[in-house]
Amino acid sequence: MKKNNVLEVEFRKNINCSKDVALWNYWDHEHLDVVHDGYKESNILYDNNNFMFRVDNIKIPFPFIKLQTPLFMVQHDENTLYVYAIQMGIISKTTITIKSLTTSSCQITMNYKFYLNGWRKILKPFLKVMIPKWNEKVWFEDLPIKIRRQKVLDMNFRDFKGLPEKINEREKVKDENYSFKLPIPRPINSSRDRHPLALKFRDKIK
Amino acid sequence: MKKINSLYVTSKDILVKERYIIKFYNELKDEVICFLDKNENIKIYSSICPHFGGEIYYDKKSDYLRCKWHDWKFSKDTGKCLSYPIKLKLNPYDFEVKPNNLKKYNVKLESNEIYLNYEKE
Repeated sequence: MKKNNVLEVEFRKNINCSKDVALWNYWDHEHLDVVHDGYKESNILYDNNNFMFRVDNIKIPFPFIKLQTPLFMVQHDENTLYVYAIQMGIISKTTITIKSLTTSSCQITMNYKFYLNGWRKILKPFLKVMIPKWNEKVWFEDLPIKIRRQKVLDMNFRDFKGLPEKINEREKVKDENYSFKLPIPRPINSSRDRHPLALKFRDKIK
Repeated sequence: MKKINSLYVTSKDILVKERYIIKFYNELKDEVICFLDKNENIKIYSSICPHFGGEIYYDKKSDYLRCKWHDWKFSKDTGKCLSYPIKLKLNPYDFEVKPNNLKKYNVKLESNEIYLNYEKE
């Protein structure tokens, strides 16, 4: 295993949403194939209160190439999550570190490492060009989601309920911030849980 | 006695052209969608998806209200969630079309200006 076979790229961005909203966006698997162009299908095989194993069908920026890629994601600590994936035999490790700046802003550091051994070394120049483009695209697809999510939470929005019935209750309760918990609740027979090998054990949403 | 307030939403001409409009009202502290369905009926609902807060839009092709984040479908007639058998629905708003005072749900388009009515707390 040679260290110089690793391609490393890092991006850092600030955003006007809380750390927990940013984390929620990473763990909300139901939006992937709706919001992001590159995802065609996404199936969760197993998840619990700090990790998830998923298989995605993705379209990569070569014409007509679709890949099935296994992906393991773990919430390592309250600020850090790791994503391990294999695409075309290339193992990648993504480290997402989220630093809280204020109650409604945070800084996200996205570090990507690709292990390019053997013939895969020839992909290095291509990946160096494509990764920043891909990161930028995904960032701007997710940006309005994170901003809006923060706004609705600031109006006292509750997941699976909506806004409070009374207008005068539709504002942020002082000192009460959205608290992120895994797994993000999904309804029974969610579009993410239809793989024949999926293990379903979450609480029923009524 | 509760006071009913009115908020201007849009005109018939704009709805015919755009099919739906989305507006945030500070008075309601809510974002609403006003749309014209295939049968030319007007409806107004909250456009904040009760699932996770995504933006609701009217999909003319399927004649459903849908969420931009997770593609959940909602009935245009009742606001009920159609994607999953769970008790979630979009919050409906009362409205009238002026100068026609015949109101509210399922009214056929005959006049121009659409106003949302709400009770002031």
